[in-house]
Amino acid sequence: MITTEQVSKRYPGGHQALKNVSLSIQEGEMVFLTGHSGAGKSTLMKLIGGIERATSGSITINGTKISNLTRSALPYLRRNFGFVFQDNKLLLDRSVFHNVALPLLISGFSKSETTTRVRAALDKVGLLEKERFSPVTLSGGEQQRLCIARAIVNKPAILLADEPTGNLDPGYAADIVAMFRAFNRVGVTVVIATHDPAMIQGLGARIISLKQGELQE
Amino acid sequence: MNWFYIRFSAFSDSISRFFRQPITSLLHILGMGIALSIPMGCYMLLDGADQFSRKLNNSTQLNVFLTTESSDETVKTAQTQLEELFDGDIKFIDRDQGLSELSKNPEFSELVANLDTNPIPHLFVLTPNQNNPQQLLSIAQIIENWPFVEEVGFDADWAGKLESFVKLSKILVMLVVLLIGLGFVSSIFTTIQLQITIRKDEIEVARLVGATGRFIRRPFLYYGFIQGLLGGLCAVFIIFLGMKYGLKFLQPMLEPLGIFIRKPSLLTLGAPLILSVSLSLLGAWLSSNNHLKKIDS
Ligand SMILES: Nc1ncnc2c1ncn2[C@@H]1O[C@H](COP(=O)(O)OP(=O)(O)OP(=O)(O)O)[C@@H](O)[C@H]1O
Ligand SMILES: [Mg+2]
Repeated sequence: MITTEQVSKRYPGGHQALKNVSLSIQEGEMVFLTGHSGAGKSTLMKLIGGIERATSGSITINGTKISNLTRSALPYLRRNFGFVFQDNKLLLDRSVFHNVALPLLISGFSKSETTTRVRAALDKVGLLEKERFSPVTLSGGEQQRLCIARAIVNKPAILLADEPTGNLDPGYAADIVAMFRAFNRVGVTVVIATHDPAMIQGLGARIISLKQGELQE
Repeated sequence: MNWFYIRFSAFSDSISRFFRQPITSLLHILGMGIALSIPMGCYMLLDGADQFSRKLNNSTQLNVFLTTESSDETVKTAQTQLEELFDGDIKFIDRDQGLSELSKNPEFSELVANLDTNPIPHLFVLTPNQNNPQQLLSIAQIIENWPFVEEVGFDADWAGKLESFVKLSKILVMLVVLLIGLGFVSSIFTTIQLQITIRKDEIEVARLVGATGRFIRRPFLYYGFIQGLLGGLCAVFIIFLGMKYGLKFLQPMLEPLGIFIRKPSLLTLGAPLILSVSLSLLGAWLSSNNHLKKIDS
């Protein structure tokens, strides 16, 4: 479902964030991406999600080579993913409901369909009763769950979560991991980037680890 | 239905944003309206002058005034000489006839009554069959040299000058419109840029979750459209006020010049609207596209 071949990313300014990364993730798999801070986890997630472009190498999603896609085709690629961003990217001047509704609005869902789906997504993460609130009034954990609701509202086939447990206490983190496992059980391919070993232990999921931009065996 | 819903919500959102800063928006619209209405007003004035100069050119006549002491004999000579030379209608106005006509004008009647002698010369009015100002001018030069002719009045001369002046002025007005148009585009560009800055995060997030360029540009194009429409309407309104009240003061001054300002046609009123809307859309498009390019790089 996701294949990268010899993917490298060099940022303007010369920093080499990824070096010749080749990996393959099957449909329905749940994978953890680990590594120290600065190892290139976020960079790899962004390349897979069509948010940034690789300097060299090729990435194939569902049989589509995304390096061949034009700029105007990228938005449609991004709609296949649910993305939980490391820095949240919540709109603080919009309600919880609107934040989750945004991807649906962009994809052109009807008003009633949007309402139904947003409520369902908020219900899954336990934020239904806060739909009218501003994200500012939510706790850190609630904000993380809001991001997850926004990522799953499109019913994506692939969920990319970059540090979804951020600075949460271990109990909370376990709840969130359980949530991802539930999505995975219904067939969603899940990729989670984390440097939090507690999150991975004893899950039996595949672990891909990066070190200074290179894949570690 | 859904297509409509998406656009409607973006549109109503743009409107509400527009009125969230009512004073700024209002001043902006007023500025646009004034900037547009000035060249429009000038154009209408010139159009009036243009009509006038064309009318003049079409009704060009020669007024041949004889010397005051001309006898009936001389008049006859003049008549035959003119008939030989001139192809067209020749009308003779006797000096007594001229005086009585003058006295019909209430402004001069008292003055005429107090005159001892008739100061008005005999007059021939020559109206050519074909309108050829050049030919008429050469005829006028010949007649002017006849000993019994005091003066030849010829108005095609300054009518022609007026016409070229009007033409030149129209070009100048067009140039001004062009410059104002450029100013328009850049002003909308900055306004939209401000709007974009306010909504920077929203644009970024929307882009991240799969918004197309068209989706991102849409609210700003609507914003530009609203701004352009209101600015254009403001210009039309100013012109309307000018026609209704300003003209009352202007018309008495223009009438002696023979200039009549016509009621603006639907086209004249539609032009600034279309201009304003399309230039605003252009500015909004340039601005939002510029930002998109920046965030995508
Ligand atoms: N936009 C950018 N421009 C320049 N350099 C960047 C950019 N984004 C990331 N980098 C660099 O690339 C390297 C990898 O960054 P990345 O964010 O992928 O690390 P990470 O593994 O996600 O780290 P963390 O665990 O702290 O989130 C870092 O050294 C970072 O400084
Ligand atoms: Mg990261």
